[in-house]
Amino acid sequence: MRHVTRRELISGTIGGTLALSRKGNVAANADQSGNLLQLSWNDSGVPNPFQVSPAGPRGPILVSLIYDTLTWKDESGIIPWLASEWSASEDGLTYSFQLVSGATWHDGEPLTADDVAFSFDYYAQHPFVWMSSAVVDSVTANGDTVEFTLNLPYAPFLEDIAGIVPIIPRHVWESVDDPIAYDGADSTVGSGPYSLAEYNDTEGAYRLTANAGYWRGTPAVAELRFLNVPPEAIIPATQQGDIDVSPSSDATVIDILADDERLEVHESAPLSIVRLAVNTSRAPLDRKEVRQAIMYAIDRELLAETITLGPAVVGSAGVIPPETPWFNPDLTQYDFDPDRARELLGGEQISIDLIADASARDPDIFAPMLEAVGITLNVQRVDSATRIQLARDGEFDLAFLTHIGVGGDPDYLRRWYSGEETNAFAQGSIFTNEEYTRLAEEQAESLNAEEREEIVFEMQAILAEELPTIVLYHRRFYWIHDPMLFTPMETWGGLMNGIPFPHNKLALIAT
Amino acid sequence: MLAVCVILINFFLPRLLPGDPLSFSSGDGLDAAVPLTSEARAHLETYYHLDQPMLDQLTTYLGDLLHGDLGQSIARSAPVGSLIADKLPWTLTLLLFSLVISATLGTLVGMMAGWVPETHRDQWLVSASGMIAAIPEFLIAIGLLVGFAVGLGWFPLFGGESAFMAHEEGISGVLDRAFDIAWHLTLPAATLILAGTSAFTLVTRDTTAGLRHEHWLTAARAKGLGERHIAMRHALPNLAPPLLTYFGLRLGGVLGGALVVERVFNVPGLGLLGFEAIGSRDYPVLQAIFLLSGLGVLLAALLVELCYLYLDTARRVSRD
Amino acid sequence: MIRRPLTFWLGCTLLAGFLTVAAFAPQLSPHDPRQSAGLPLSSPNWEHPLGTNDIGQDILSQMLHGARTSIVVAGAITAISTLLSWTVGLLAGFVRQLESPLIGLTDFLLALPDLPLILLVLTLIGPSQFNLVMVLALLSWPSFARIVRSVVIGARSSLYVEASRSIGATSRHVMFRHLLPATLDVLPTKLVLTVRYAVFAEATLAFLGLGASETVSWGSMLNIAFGDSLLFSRSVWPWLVLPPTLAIAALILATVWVGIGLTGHRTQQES
Repeated sequence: MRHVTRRELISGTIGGTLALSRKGNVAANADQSGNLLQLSWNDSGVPNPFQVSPAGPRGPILVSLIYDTLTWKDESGIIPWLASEWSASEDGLTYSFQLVSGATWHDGEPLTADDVAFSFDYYAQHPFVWMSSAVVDSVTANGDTVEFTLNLPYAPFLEDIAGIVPIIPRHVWESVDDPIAYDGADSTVGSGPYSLAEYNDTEGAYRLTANAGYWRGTPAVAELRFLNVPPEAIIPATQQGDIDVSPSSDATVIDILADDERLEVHESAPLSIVRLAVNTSRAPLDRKEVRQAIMYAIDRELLAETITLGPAVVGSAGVIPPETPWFNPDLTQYDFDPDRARELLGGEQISIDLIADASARDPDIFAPMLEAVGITLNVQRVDSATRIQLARDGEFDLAFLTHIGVGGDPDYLRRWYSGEETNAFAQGSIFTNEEYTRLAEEQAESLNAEEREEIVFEMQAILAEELPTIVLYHRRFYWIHDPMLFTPMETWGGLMNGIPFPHNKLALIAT
Repeated sequence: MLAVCVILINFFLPRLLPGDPLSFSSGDGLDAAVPLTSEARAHLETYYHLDQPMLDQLTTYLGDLLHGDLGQSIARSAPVGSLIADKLPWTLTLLLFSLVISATLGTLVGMMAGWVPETHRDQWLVSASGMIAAIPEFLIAIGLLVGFAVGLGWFPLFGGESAFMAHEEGISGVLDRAFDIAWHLTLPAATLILAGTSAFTLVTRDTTAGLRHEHWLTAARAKGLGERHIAMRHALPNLAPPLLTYFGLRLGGVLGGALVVERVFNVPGLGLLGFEAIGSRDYPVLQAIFLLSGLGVLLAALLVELCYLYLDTARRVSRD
Repeated sequence: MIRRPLTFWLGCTLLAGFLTVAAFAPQLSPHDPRQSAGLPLSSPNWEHPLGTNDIGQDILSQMLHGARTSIVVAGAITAISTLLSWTVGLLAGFVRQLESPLIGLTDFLLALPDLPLILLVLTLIGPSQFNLVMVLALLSWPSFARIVRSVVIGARSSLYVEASRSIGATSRHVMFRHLLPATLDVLPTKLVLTVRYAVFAEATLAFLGLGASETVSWGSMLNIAFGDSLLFSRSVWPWLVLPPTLAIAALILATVWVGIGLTGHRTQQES
């Protein structure tokens, strides 16, 4: 039985024509009761690998429902997907993938090893902005196996490249020279469990329909609608039944929805980070003692509780959040200890600039805490594009950042500080430490999982001691959902590269 | 000359902003660390000609503009022309409709108030419209949203129409869709009307009050003409110049969109497009929107001048 | 003796109240408006008469400091903008040589979209209070410059101006004795509309996230309140939304009432 919302009931009483049209609409949906899932989303562009918006994780998640990858992740680790099995050479330079049989494109063409090889060749010319595949030197197709040759051994290959870079149909893209401007009707043909039925680019809304012949099982929900909802309307729209799945970053939704019979709240792992990036090349922040004093001076538990209105997950000094696969539980952490902070500063009065987004509330709370130990914070409010520019040019002392993408493969710890990545959060990572650089390079090439874990633990220890970034706390996300329609799934290390969204395509396929 | 200035400002002002269109950030705390590598960034810079010197970019822009090509949006990878064509009908419908209503309503109320100033009617009308005018547009919008959409549930919470509603073919489907859109746009339009009427009321009221002692009015009264007749036939044309000027100003703003209302109700209009383009430093979209709203103002000014001319001749004819 | 409407005196009282509060905000405030002084989102109590906001700042103290910001911003913008409107309007309507360049400048500024341009410029130069005042003042004069000019042109051709010209009055005499008074009809309207524009613009910009962050203002209080997507699910929401809303409305209303009182005053003197 489809839930009839209050809105529909009332609108039915307003006027004759309106009531008729709404009734007609309800009738049309009635036979697929429970088979329509409406999700709160935002406009993320055309959902193919070349035109999807890279601002925020929603675009790539849409792409992951429409396209498939060689591997994927479930609750406990990497699992086979388009590749049924694989093997790697001793030196980690070649990988061989065996493709599943029966995979087809949405237009009925079979998905072949040729398509896989073509995809990576094509990405070499036209990069997929969400994940670089530059480490792939060449790909050859041979029957139903594909062989990858890499430039250098790369530990995150299976999770980050095979598991994120979408396979695209050769018969669509081989004749396209400019994929960013391509607007053919077949521009979103993928092989995933859902195909794009309609993208309303005026409203920024998507309608995805189940791919009935999906090789891995029939999708459980017949139709997904991703609707563009402004932040203030998300909770009311969910309560009124216009939305079935929506996010909140505030723990009080649990209390607010306690009496709601339809909705439940799923709490995600703390796969995010709220931190201060430190420009370690500028005095006085070039001194480790000053950075440590800041860490001791801020009551991070109080800060997190005030902002999230829920239990705090105090920041791990080693950056990688607790409850995630690569977290080092044995790090020395910093307790709130203003006396220790004063001691480290030795009575010195310090003045430091901080750049923060205009809407950030945290600086208003921790600035007085720093003032109390003798550090005066000059908070400069800027918009996010300006903040990114200042960070890129190194024109800052401290930068207040809040983002996700820290729960997945830990190679980002290397890329941030090696200058290889140019995204908003890697910018402002200014830190040089020979030992750290050596370990970072070593882990990226390490093919032994235990050995790699040990190195990553050591890297976290260095970060915790040197504090090139001061981690304040980790946020959870609270996913409001109708359990009759959708079961959230907590992916190992977050969806793809550490995204705390429960929209894993496994959760949408009937088992 | 004016047009050249506007085009040049449109080109340079967005590019002076700190930051660039390839610094992706959604800014809602759900930002992911996009692993955008240096090579991918360089590729995009070349694709969008962002690596070229400013003058070359300007030449390309002007050349494209001559061919009617507004370029490609960087944040949304879609042609700017089609983005604007999508959003323009929403903005025009919403704003023109509410502008005409507020102008008519405001003029009538203003004349009623100003005709016999200092009476209770005058004070009451002016205070009432003043009270509505004392609340900023965004608060009116939020008030209506909270009251009628969140609380009572009479109107939708967001959007310009019900997404993916299947409408039948033919006239009944068109009507259905029109009703659906009207239902979605009621609160945004009500906001604009409530916020926009009082300025017309005040301008009309003051001018009407000022007209009271003009000789021709006394003359008309002496002739024994009815008050309503005098108001409509003689006072209204005299009210026209300041009202027209004000109407023209508001009309010129139409193409700039109604950002606040669009933002609160998520109406897919030009204002919201422009606001998002500022945040993402989407130069081609910014240029196009600024150009369009500049054109809108010039067009409105032209229209007002024409109306003046018409009124002038009309008055001269009536005097003779 | 001129009889002024009751609302005029009410408006004056309110304005005087706002000015006093603005002047003595630091002395009247029970807490530092920027310090977290209590539990977040508490309802009104003895310690916090209007409750606290999302991070425990005292709302009453923020209201009092917000009055100061609003009055300073609105006053400065209105003064600069009105001066510019009249200077440009009078000159453009009266001095033939200046007419086309001034009209050109006015049209040029009017041809730039209002709110998007403000957003763009403030993003460019940073939304400090000084920048806010300058941008809003420099962009808000053209519309009334046009109106003043149209009044001047109307008056210029009227019988008494032509008559005083014919008896050899100087330009200055004509300008200040005949044209300027003719434009004063619209002055209260300009003042009321500009105060309203300034207060609204400050609040709207803060709502859109471009308020001056170094000062506490009613707009920034609303921005913070509406930044919370759960606002209307919380029981304290009226305490976060109503005080700044009512204060904005009261300030504007007081201005409107005083403005109307002044117009009435003038009309009665004439008759």
